[in-house]
Amino acid sequence: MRFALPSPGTGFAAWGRKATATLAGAALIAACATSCSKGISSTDVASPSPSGQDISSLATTVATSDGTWATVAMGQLSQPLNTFWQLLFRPTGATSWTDQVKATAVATNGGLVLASSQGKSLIVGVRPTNLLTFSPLIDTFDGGHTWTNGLLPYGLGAYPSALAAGPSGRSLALTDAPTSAAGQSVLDSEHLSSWQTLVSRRDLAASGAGQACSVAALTAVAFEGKVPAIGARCVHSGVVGLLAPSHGSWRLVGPALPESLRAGSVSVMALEPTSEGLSCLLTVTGPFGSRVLAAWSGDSGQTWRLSQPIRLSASEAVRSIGSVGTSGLFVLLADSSGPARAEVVSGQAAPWTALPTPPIGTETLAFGPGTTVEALAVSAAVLTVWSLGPNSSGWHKGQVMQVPIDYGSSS
Amino acid sequence: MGSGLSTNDPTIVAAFHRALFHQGFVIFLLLTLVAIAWSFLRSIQLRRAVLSESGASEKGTVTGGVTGAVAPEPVARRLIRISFGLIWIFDGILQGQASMPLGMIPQAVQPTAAASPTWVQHLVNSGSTVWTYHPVSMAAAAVWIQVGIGLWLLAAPRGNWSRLGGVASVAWGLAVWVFGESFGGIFAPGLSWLFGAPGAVLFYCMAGVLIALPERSWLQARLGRLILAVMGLFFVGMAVLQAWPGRGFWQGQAGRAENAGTLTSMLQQMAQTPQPHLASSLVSSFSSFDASHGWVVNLFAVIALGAVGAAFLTGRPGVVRIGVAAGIVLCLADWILVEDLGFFGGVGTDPNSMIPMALVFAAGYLALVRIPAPSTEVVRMHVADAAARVPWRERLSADPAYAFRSIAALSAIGILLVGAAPMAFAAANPNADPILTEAIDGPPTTTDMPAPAFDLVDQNGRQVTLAGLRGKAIALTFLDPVCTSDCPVIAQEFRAASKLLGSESGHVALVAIDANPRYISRDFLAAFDQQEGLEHVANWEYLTGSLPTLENVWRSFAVEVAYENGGAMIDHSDVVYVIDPDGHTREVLDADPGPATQATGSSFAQTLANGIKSALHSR
Repeated sequence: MRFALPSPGTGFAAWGRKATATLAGAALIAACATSCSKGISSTDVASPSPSGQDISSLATTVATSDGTWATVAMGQLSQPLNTFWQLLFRPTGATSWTDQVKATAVATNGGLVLASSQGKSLIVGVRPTNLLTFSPLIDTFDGGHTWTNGLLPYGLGAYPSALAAGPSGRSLALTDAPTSAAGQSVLDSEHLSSWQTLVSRRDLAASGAGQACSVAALTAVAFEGKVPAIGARCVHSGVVGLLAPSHGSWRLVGPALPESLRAGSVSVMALEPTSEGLSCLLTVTGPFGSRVLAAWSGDSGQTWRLSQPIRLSASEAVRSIGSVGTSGLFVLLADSSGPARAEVVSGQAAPWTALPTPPIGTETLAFGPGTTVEALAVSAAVLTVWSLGPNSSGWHKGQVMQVPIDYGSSS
Repeated sequence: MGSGLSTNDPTIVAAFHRALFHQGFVIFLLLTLVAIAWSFLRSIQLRRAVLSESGASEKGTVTGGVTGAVAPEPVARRLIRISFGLIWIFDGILQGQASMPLGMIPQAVQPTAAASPTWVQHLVNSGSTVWTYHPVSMAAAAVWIQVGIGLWLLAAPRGNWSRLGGVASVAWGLAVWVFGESFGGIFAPGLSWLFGAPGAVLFYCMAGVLIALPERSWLQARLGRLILAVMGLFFVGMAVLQAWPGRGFWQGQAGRAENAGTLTSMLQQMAQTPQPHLASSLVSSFSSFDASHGWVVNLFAVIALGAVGAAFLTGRPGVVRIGVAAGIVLCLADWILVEDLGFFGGVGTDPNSMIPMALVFAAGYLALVRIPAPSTEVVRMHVADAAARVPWRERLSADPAYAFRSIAALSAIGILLVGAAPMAFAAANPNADPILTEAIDGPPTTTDMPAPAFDLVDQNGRQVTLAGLRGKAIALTFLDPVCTSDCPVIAQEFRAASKLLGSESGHVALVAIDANPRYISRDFLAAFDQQEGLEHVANWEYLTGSLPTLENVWRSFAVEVAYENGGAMIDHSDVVYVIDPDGHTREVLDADPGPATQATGSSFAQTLANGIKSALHSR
């Protein structure tokens, strides 16, 4: 077998031209490859969609005539389907808490919203999670001995004041946008069934009052007497988005902010009925940073008194809010390293009082008879109750409860 | 929901091995027939040879001339054909690993697609869906298709049969490149020669193209120069890409807490792959070295790639030879230290890109320097062939070499079809195989017992009893209306099963009974129906009653319902009863949805539909 050899070299000049051309071609290929891998992929790679609302601020306590109820998240808090919200109860006069979450008979990964009608009953709304898109409701008038249930045909919003119980069994519910056909809405019902839409965010935003606020989201509902009140987050600076029905439309009924805060946008975090009207917690965010302040209405909403604002540092966020006594409020603030501080205001004209730094893992506070304060701290499936006695400057460890979390049961 | 299927699920693995065995048996029969046919042909040929001893026909001289004076196959072509034939067979054997049916998509295909643009993901997903719906038949098909292609290349060394083998190699290679390798990851970030860009199977396609070329293409140096030019451009381009700043290749890992560079990070992952200790220690060592000397390693890679590419581009045999040797060493080093040999981990599908790449440029060198010199005899052979145009039947009986090539190629095609036919049927079937359900829930339990009676009300307040449903087949289950996981999935599977029944669904009742002791009012059933889009499904009944009545029904159907602590949902049995029109339970199915994927849902719907059909026709 003879093999033909290639013809002799074609000369350096020709070789040089060929080399230049091929190097240019190679550079072009590499540049295209880089564009393909960087340019296209940087824009076209599907990224996971952001998670839903932050539900961590749902932790709270509600006092009723039978005792104090609380809800906290427990389990593996970094995994939504292994986080289970508990329903805790300390009967009046008792010193320990029990877990009543079994009564909900539904997976509580989405969070629980608590409401009370003038302290006589407790309503628990279970937020949707995973494949459940509506919210079961249960209520009790006897401290959890018996329960009845109701049904909200849409998903309850992730706000501490998303549920309100009014006189004569009337209720208000603030629904989530994704699961409600009309978008975020406030629904009205008698006895937790047969819900009707009171107003949608879209319709509220289109009203005169809504436009004055430029409603970004609805954030709270309550009854002031028999009249529904809706809290909102406003885009327009200096406007408190608290709205009430008026002559077939809506009007702004919130307080006027002090001059120093009018450059900020306001969000109504919580609404609580009082004997004189409403109490509300507001956050104001502006060039000055973030502030939290309380406001109380009187004279059927004609007058308002505001607390001094609490300044939040850049790393602080509201962890839990709730009521204290008949008109007081508390705020638990946390940063990335854990609970930072707890502030309490006992009522109108009272200053904010800072409590001793809450223990690590504190999710919410419970205020008992007298001046007893308890911090409910969570570490995975263990609940620890710390108490702060009168005139005490420190927290004392009390009850420790191991909650049997069924990890993996929701997936 | 229950846990997902493990990649080595024994039910799936057993079914996979059964499929391979059955198909292997078919191939055995096929080869037996082929052997008989070959034996028959040989006897004809021998008889003809004896008859033609005394005098040769004109055609016989030509064919005899062909037999006697055919030039050997060009060395380069033979290298490509035999090596890729063996590689295809090796890849086919790799496809027979036990974890292939369930592990191929999530562990081999999806990770590459996940880093690619959305349109690539959609395209890959269309192929992945077929695989996940029919994991056993697809995995078995991949074995035989690749073995068939490999045998085809080996068994048919010359002529149109061989060229057709090259075409088959290209066709299957392209399918794998798109659906299996997500275009070789060329649209994903981190593209690098070190990691196998632009995809191993693209070199299989190149080899297929070369094999498919007419043999006269190999008789000149031009083909060799072209191959080397293409590979040279490729290497230089990869060198430029490797040198490109901002892609993480110039850094190692400054400290334990620091982010690792792209290569270091990949090596750390590769070292974790299940593999022999020697291999993992080599990769680990290199990973440590790269972490400390990332800049130097990348500089070496850039220079080496550029130098090899430049050597190829010169086209000068002496320089190319050095480039080929250096390229082979570079490829081997990358194959061992970076690509980690490519086929470990249980779902390795091929030895990755370095070996095929080295074979292609080695063949290019051989095509440049070892060209068969044209001989007058070969020229006369071509002229004579053209003039004679011997019919193929005549060639079969007169030319043993041609006969062998043809029969061998046909056998290989037969093996390929043993894989391709089931794959085509699977791709055309939109419903997943029941084997997935069997793997999760076990096979249905068959029985023939009177079903327990019930007297409940449906979501619209109508009374519904078992007796009232006489004459219809019933699929009956227990669903919690506020369930967050299993029950919505089971409801959709019921709906899908009803669609599969087509016109027969009019004779079927889909019945769910409330399984939550707290939420028993019809409002909750209606809310569930609305959530699942069942309110307009004509044969859907969601039943409830008083708590004592429900408790009786649960007991009679052996369904456990219990409150759970800690915020978990109600615990209840996931079970389906298939009841015939006479009120007899015919099948009991475990309805655990498992991972509740589209594939498992489709599979359960098919299993349920099969059970309902069987109950309908049991009278």
